Amino acid sequence: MSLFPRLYRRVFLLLVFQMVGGAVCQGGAGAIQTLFDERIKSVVAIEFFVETEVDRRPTTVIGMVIDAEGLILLLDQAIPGWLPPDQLKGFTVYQAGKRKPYLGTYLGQDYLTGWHYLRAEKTLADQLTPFTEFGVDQPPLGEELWGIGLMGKNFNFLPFYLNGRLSFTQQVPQKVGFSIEDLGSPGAPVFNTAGAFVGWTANGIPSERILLLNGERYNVALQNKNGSGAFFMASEVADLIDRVPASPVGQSIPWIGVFGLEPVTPEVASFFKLENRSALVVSEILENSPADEAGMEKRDIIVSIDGVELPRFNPGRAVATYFEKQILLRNPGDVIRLGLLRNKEEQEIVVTVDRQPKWLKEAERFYFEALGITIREFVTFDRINRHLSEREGKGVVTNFVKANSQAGASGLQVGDLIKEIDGVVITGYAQAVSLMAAIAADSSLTEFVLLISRNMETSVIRVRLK
Amino acid sequence: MLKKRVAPSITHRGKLRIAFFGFVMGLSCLGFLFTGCQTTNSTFSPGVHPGFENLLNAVVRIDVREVTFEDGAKRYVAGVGSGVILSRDGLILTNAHVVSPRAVEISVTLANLERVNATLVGWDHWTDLALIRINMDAASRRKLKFSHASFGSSDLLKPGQTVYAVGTPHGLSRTVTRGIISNTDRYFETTDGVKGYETGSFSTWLQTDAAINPGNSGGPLVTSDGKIIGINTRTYLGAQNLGFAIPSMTAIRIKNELLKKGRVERSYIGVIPGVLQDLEGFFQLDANSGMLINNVDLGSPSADAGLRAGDIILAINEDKVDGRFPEQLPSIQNRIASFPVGSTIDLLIKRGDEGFIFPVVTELLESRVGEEWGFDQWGLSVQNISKAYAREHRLESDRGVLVIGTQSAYPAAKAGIRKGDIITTINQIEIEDLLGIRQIYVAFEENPESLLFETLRNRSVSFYVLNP
Repeated sequence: MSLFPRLYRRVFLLLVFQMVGGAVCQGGAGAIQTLFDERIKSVVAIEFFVETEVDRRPTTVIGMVIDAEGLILLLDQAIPGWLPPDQLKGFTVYQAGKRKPYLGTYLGQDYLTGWHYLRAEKTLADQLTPFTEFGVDQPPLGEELWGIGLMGKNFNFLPFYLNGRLSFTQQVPQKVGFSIEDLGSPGAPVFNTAGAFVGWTANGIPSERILLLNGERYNVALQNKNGSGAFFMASEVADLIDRVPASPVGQSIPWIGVFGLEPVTPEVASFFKLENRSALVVSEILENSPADEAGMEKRDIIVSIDGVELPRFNPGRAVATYFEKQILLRNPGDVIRLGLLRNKEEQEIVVTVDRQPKWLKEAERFYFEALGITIREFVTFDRINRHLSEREGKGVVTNFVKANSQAGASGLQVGDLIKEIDGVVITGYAQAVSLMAAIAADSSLTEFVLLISRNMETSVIRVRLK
Repeated sequence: MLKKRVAPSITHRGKLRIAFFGFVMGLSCLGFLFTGCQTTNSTFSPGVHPGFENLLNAVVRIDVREVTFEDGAKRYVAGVGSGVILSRDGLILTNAHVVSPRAVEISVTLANLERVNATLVGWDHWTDLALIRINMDAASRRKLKFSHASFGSSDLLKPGQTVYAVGTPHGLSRTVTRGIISNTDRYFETTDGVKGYETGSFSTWLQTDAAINPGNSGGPLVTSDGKIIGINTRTYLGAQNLGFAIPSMTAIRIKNELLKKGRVERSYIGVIPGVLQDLEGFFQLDANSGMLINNVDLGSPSADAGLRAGDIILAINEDKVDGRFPEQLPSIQNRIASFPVGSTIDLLIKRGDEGFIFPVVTELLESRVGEEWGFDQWGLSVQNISKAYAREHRLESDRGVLVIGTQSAYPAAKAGIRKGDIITTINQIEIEDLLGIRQIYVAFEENPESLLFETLRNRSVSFYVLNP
């Protein structure tokens, strides 16, 4: 928070500079002021809480207004994707520079872009302006751009003006523009000097700096949390903003069950006689997944999807994201043809896209307050992360252990896979919940014993209750 | 089994650092503090036992140069430790972390300050003991004289008894420090004690407050009559007067084995024990009976036999087992390990209310650390993948070699290969183990050509081109 007073001074000076200097070279300070005043209505600050078993943690993020009904778009990282939606509470929306809170409703996260959607209450929606009102433009290299930054809650989310020039664009695989100067707070829109929308500020990329400290020299990478010069190009945003999830959970996400997609470098590609072609190595295939059933094997090299060669990207890693997005653009039930290289021979394999198993954030969980333990359903992604076979993947996961509780003192840790409770082998979540509920309800009990698995090793843990 | 701490009550591992003090890298950090002259009257003589004087003449300083493959290159490092001569024919007992099979030059400084080379007879990292022998041809040609010391029984020690540590702390030869036996039965095992090798699973330790410092390692802990009752091995860093020694009864047994075979063969069944303390009620056990199985290694003889975590071993070949406290576990583990490899042992198991006998066929115990090698032109050092490593990382097999280091700006590092990668194929030829990759390296040395490496990194398959 100590950042803000300093930032405030900087911003104030910047504004003064813009008002004086800008008048000389641009259409006048008044023109900028007018554009600015109109466009700050497309930016909001959002406050919400992450509610855990024992506390509530407030978070503030910035969103962009995308329709006249108060629909707001938030960046992927604005809300951690693994957080169960029922732990997200108290969404409050603030206009830039204003103190009055309005209610917001969280609508969920789009699985393709990772972006989150929120709906502001009607009374606020009427006072906001979606970015689409300002027209959309594609900036050429070197064009002057400007954007909006928002201060913290202590300063009533005061909006401030930032500007720079488009330095370069890159496909990663989304088209992203970069300015050396900060163009806005992550989550706020970027405009050109005519006032047209040109992009949406993404999180900044770390910049390399040399730190001199007591005569010592350090190479450091610094990332500005409150300002960024990176932005999703307008064309990327405009095409994807309609993907509002039907509900925060229970989405039908397409998948085929391949993991560890590793891009092949051009040098390696030429070893495989794949000159000038892009390729991806498949490291793992989940048993009984669509890819497994289609006959895909680990170490297959993917070169095309539905007859379209994988494109090249710089950095090369982006091809893995490209492929994943291509799958996400299909629907469960769709059939895709994958061009593969296996044992030096090219072949095509037909995979039927299926619905992805439950996300981690959708796993059921239950907090036993009397025991200070939350247990969570074991989902397919746990099996993948722990490299367990279908047969081994039985049990429930310790999702929370209250500090200084008896369970904490017993050595139980978050992430432990509970395989047995009081000698009873766990076969499912519901059974584990009922066993734990019985323990929690029995006031005469002095202890219970868990068999847990941690780092591939099991251990018997005794939890004293008295 | 044998690789992890098993007792929840022993929480000091990881919190306190246990230092293995054999290898003092140079003496540059040595600091002397002169506090003024003292009288020259010895506090020992005339009351020093002749056996003690003899012992002093049997303690040696050991300078070791050894090869490492850690940073993608073959390098040599030097270290200093201590040892004690056990026989007229020049056998010296020391620590496994002082002298290991990586030693390329072992130089022994006798009590009379004469230097003579020695060779490794055998080593056993599980108990942190190594046996070396003085080059007797050189010794007799130069008519070198030395004493040899004899063992006392560590079983007869009592806490509070006065003992002396003799060795080369910080390179200060033949330093004698005095203390008492603080505990006769200390237990801890680690996986990183002896150059990354496991130690402490099969023996307990003597604890003493006699000052033990870097360089004391391998030196004897003795009684006032000069009998060896322990081999000084480790201390707690940052603590005061917490030193640990391998009991003489363990040392004698291991010494005899090393003399016979150069190594100690142990049986492995693949169970990690847990302490039963406070769990007897839950498992409905009589007091002082049984050993809890905390974990059964995947694919181990015990897993094959059907043992499960949470089972209780009540008896081994009809001999009752008592694993209530942590310090009781090493002797039980040692009992299992002492069966000849390939033996069938009958484990009486309590599971729930029932009792079963499980016959388990033992395998040879292997370390998780495989043999190492370095490829200078590639700037790459690798290690064989042990069964234990493959199991811990849930690899499908122990095929391939593990990268333990790369040298920056050398071909392997430039290609993108990193420490921790597992090399599975080169030019699409499967690499089974060190032998396979060494063959390819020999061919590369003769005819340097680009090579296609396939690796596993966190189970992800990647390809890299290594250019000459």
